[in-house]
Amino acid sequence: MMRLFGMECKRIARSILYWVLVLALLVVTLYQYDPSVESELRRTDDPASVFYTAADGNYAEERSAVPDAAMEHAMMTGATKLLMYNYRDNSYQYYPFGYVKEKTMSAREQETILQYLMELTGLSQQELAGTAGGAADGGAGDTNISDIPISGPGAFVLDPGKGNINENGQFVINPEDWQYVPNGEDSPDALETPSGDIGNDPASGGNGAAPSQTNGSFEIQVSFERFREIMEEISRMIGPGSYFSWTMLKLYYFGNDMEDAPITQRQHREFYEGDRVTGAFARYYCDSISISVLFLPVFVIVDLMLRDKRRKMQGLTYPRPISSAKLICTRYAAAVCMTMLPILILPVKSLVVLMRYCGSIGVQADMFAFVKYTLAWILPTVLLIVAVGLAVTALLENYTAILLAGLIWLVGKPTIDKLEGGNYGLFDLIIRHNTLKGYGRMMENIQMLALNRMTISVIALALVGLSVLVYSKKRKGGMTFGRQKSIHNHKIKLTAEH
Amino acid sequence: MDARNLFTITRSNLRLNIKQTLFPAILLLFVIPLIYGTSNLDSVKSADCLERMAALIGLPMFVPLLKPEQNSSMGAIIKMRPFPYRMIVALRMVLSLICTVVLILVFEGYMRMDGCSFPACAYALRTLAVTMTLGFVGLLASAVSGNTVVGFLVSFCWYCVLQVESLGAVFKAVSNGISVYQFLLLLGSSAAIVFFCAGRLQRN
Repeated sequence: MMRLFGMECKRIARSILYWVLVLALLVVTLYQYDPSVESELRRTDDPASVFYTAADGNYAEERSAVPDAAMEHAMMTGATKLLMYNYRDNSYQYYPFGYVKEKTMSAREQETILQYLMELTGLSQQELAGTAGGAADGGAGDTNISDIPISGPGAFVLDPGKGNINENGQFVINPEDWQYVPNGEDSPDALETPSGDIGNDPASGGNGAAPSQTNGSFEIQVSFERFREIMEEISRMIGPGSYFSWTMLKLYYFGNDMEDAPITQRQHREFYEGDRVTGAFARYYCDSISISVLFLPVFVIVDLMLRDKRRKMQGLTYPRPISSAKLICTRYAAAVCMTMLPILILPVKSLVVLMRYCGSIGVQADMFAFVKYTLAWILPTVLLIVAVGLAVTALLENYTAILLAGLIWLVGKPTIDKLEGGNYGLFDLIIRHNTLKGYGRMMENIQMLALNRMTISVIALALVGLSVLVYSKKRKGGMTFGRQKSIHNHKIKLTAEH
Repeated sequence: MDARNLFTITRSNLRLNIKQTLFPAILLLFVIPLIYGTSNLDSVKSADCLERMAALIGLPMFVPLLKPEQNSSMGAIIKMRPFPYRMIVALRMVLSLICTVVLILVFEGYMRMDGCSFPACAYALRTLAVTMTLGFVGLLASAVSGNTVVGFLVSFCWYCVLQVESLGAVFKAVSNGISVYQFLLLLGSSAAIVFFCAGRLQRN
């Protein structure tokens, strides 16, 4: 068994394809992960660096220390503004699969949205549609949302749609993406202009409160709880991953760990005590290569399985006394091990650098963090993708597995609300954690994370079992598709011809 | 070679192509609207959609073109044929090219019907350039290595490199127009494919 495993590993290592895969992983690591380690080590004195240790023990305040009312107000106003413009354009963006999509609502759905908007803002239908003279922000179709003054306390907010995902799936927020929402020391009344007699409009204000609508401004008319209910309903109408879903609203308005903000006492403690430094980088490394490992490993197994067919060796391998289970499992194990090998080796350089730095500042780092995270986070994904490739190639004996894995890669990319980590689903193919912070968030949801990784691994093993069955049937001359010939038929043909 | 022979060769290669190239490409085009926004896009977003998604059909349309002859026992049979293998490869590339043009136009038509606004002809030509580049890079790798899987992997890596702003801008033809480099790459790679495919066969 071990001899066969060694032989299969050698066959993989001799393939040019394997080295292209190693090269691709190397490029991703060098381009995406290594610079983040270097930049973090270069700025250890920067309060925004995870390495930063305040001499006086004073760290930035937790985001939750900011008055909740301010953040809630910023969220309600921002989301309502966005909803208003989406309503005018009848175009609602959402992220069902990690790519932006736009939904056009039916007339009935638009009517429902209109009712919600009227309840939220107290504005009339004409003003919400931008058709009333001087209403809202000056005309339909104008999507410049910055010219609507709002009232209430100020806060830095990230408007939905700001920030972007770069080519490697990393979420990037530029400084100019943050918008300062003006401080509301001015009373709501101060922002009102006397022009609106909209309050007399029966359509305005569904809750009986006098709408403080003005020429170019509005005041939220509902409580935060009611706002959440409305947003949940609207999000359900649009689809998964809309800007009005609670996870997206939290991500954009309640702050997130992906922003380059000064670290807090909690983040400092989590980094040095929870992650023991290397844990945070190991997680970030896994995040960096996660999208690549969602597709690349399939090439190794497909090439390995098709080599027999390409070299017309099936006639020799099928009649061998070795069991199908042993042959398939050995090939599967060889492909998985050879794929995992570079993934485990590539972060060694950064591990050494981090260990040396930790030694210099007298911090006990976790030497096995990269191994632990790689095996726990990356291995199940590799197991699944290789198993998909194995099962499909064993069944069809062609390149369909590559195209299927390509589709899985396109569809399996996580949505924006998963980037920060901690928001895990049972069937998430890859785990994202696009920040060096957030150990606590991960630990809060560790059960779902463990369940997810186990589910993915079990599905992978079930597919391997299926592959064994299919291969076994094929060896006995069954399960042929299209113009495939079983080895038995082939023998008969040869006999007949000769 | 008379017209009848040419017709027979074209027909058999087209039949071969439909199963291995056209069917997966159509399937891919059907999947795109499910995962990526294809409605009410302006010209910039339409270019992004065509470049990032529709151009992916270059992988199934071009990369597996040499697959039938990559079985070790096929070399001897092909060498015995009077019709040059290089001509067959060129013919397959042209057939795939025609099918790709049709698919791109159909997909563009769908996008236009879905409320997207963009210059259809210019974008069709540019999308074709991106698709061909993606496919030809993989096909060349397949011809050099004698392995279609390598072709797919190289094409995929090329696609990922294109997404990098600093590296891929030159080859983002739909957004930035067809560059001289891209034109040269297409010409060079197509010539190299035709050259290497037969060279590999000779060695086999």
